[in-house]
Amino acid sequence: MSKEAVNKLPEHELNPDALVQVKNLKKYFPISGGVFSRVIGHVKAIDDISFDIMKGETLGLVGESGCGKTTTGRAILRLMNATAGHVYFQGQDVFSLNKHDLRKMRREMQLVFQDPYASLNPRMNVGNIIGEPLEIHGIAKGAKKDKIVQELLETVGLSKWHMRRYPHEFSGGQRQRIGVARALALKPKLIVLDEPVSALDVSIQSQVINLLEDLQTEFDLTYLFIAHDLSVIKHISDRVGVMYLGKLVELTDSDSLYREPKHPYTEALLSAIPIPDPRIQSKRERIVLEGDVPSPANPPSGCRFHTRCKYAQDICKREIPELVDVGNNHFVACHYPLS
Amino acid sequence: MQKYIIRRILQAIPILLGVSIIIFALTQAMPGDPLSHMMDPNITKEDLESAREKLGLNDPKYVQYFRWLGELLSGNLGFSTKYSKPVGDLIKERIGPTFTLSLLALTIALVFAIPIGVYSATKQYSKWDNLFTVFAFAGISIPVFFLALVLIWLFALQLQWFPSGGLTTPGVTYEFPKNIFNMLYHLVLPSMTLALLYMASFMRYTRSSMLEVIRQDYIRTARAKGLSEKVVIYKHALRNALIPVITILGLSLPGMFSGALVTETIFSLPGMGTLSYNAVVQRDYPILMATNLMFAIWTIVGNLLADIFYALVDPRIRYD
Amino acid sequence: MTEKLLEVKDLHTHFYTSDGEVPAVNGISFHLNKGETLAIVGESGCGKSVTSLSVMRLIPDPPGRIVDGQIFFEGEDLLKKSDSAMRKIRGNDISMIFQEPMTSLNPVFTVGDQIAEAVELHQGVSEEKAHKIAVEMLTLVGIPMPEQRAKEYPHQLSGGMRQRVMIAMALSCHPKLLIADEPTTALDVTIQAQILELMKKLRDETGTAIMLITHDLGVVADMAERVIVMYLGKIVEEAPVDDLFHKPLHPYTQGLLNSIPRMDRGKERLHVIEGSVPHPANMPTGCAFNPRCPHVREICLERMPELIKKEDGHTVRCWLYTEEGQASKAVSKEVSS
Repeated sequence: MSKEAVNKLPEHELNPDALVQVKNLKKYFPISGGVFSRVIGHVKAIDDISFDIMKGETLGLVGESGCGKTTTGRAILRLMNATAGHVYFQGQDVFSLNKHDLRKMRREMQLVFQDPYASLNPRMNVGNIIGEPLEIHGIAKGAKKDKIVQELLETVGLSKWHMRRYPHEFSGGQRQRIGVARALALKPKLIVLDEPVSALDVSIQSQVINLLEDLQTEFDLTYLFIAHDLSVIKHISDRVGVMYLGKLVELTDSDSLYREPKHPYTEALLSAIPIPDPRIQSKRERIVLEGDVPSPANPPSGCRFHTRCKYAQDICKREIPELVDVGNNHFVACHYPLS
Repeated sequence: MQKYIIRRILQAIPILLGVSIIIFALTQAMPGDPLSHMMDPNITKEDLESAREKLGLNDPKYVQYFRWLGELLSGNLGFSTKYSKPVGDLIKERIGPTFTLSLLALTIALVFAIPIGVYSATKQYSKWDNLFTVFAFAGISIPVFFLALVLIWLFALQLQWFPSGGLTTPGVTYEFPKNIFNMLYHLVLPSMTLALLYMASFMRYTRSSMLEVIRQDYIRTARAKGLSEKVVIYKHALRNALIPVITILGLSLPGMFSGALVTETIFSLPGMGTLSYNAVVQRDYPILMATNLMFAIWTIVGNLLADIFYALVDPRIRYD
Repeated sequence: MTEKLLEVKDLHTHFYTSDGEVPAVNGISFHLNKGETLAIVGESGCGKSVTSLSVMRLIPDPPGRIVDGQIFFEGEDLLKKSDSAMRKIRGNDISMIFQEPMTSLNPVFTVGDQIAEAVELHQGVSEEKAHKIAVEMLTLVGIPMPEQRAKEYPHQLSGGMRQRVMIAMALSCHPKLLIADEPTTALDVTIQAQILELMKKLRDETGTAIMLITHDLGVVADMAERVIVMYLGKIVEEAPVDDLFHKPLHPYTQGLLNSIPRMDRGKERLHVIEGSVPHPANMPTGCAFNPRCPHVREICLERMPELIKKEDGHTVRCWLYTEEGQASKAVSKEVSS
């Protein structure tokens, strides 16, 4: 144990059922300009969000490009330094860990990327890609490492004979399986999945989704599943958080979210997705939002959604709504939640 | 844009200061000092010492540096003992021919290289493309001096179309504008030498940049509009393809001077190249320092020009 | 009697790559009526985009070439037309919008110029008039401050705006056929909704026929009247949209429909099509889908089935719907994933 004190979450705020607790997380990216390249503003990628990820659950994080969902995943893993706020992993403050302890904690939290093409080193064979974390963390090497890698390959539905092959010899779906095997190598508790199926074809997508579900049961994993596709999110997640312009606007279990969205943005988002059945789709009413998402460098005052919200009132322009529980653990940040 | 240019000029100041320190230090590190070249070898040690004292050569190095810098800023580039002339006057005389030579060479190179590059890209792996590729690699790999000698042998000695060197016909004085034509006539072979050299690389850059651009989605869009191939290539593709070529052009501007050094020497042209070449051979430190500093400034100016042109052709580039 | 606008007959488009000759489109025939919206769906590599580019005769050559077939547009074979005659059709009678609005517009020209260019070319109007039409088109596709926007460059617009510009450009000469190749795939869902609504509105106003290329079955359900499903360069099923979703015949179509997660369904386990699409240069013998098909029979391994007409407007390429196929013995096999 290091000499520096690792900040722990105060007893009364600790949620024993939560694996990760995110508290008032902020991430601002500076914008520079002018003759001397001074900082002239900030892109508020995440602006004060708080939520818990429960042990063994799949928490979906959904939103459109620029909403901050990917940044949130990276900040939780401390792959980038947050501007403010805390992330507690099993009660320990991830941001206050020193290098050594952080490395130990990294074993517990892994990341699977969107692009299975770009995230695998083309010059390493699959055995080395999956085995690398085992070596780095001093868990296994040589024949023992190879054996673990072979088991992992079979776990994700590949063959142990694939070990000596290189990433370009695999299809997109197989590469994503390799990415998953690499994440599993250290037996993590949490896996952050950043758009893990959006680059895949429809028939391959379902294979990977089923695999992820099987692995979760088998290894008792907790997922943070980040995606823009609400249908996929709805299918795989226990609870879903909806983000808009750096804010968490709604958080509840996935059935309630679909059945009774409370935030006007969620409502519009759900109605925007065409359902693959012409009989149902022709009867649905689509709420078309006007315009584009405003720039996160210059977000609207008050509720960030007020510029595109058909229910907006004066107060929405002035005051930022808090994320509050409106009953049954259904959290929404809206002055006039839908009923 | 203005702000950006100001910022770039301000940024250039520390760079130039750094360069001046390096130039000063290198000159100091060379064996001997200016006096040892100026003085009668039979002078007594005491007299030498007093001369050193008088010229400030015994002062601490940093004092000497700042004195030099001060003189530089007030426009005094030093005095060449070899030519017995102020360095500033020498550069004034020599910069004209070098500039003309470089400009001519650059223009010739671009006028040929860009259309050839475009043609090669649109007809990739055709007979002509392969021929131009061979030509380009030859151009890149042949040394300047060799190319110059071949051109002299062919056009000056065998065909006797152009003079083999010099800037003016010896013994004849022409009135304006005849003197200009006479100078251009003398510059044909040297600028061809330099142009052939640059043509090769500009051609390759245009070709590869064009190859990349014609695969872009917006070229497909242009074709889908029903535009003719000519409009697609010369309007939609070329303007995009030239953007990287401009960068290369800006970066090769200073290189034109070093290319000119060899060319000028072979064709015995009184330019900046020969001036600095002779200065190296004769250890003419004041000239060396001044010309090196000029090259540094020219490099920075070339980069700045490239960036400004960049913004002019590419609306996505906005400096603020 | 509905009038055929486009009729493709036995089209073969091949690509000559280092892996050998790839039949990206391998003998497809279909038609499109005036004012109709036809969707062509399939996964990557099925040949749907190559089909659309073939109709425009925009297949990059090399490496691709239309090797056989006929493409009748208003009764005339486009493949027999001279290059200059084809250019008069492109952007005028048939226009196209692409998947990537970010890269489909030329970055160094203003959007107004880019729209006006086609108008000037095809309608023979003055530059000034063409720019006026460009601004009108921008208004039509719902771009606020169109006069101002016309003077801007593509990078100053958002993805959704750029796709609107592409649509404005495509519709500026009142085409009879609009080919939309994955028009909303690169866009966010709320922006996708805007673009789909816009396309529907403009379709209803102008009567343009739409050939919609997509992999998204939700978009198909939302837009299309008739659907063609492609797999490895061939049509495997063709049906009116309602039939395709409610009475899918081909095992591939059935598999696709069952494997997509749906928002209106619960969390039951997804159906899976085993394996992955084989490389087109390495096609299986017999029916191309046989390595992944749960109902394989012996005949499927030997011969490619023909397209069989099941009902009015519903055809399927599968042995299961033939007597010959029914008589063939089922193959039990381990499907490798």
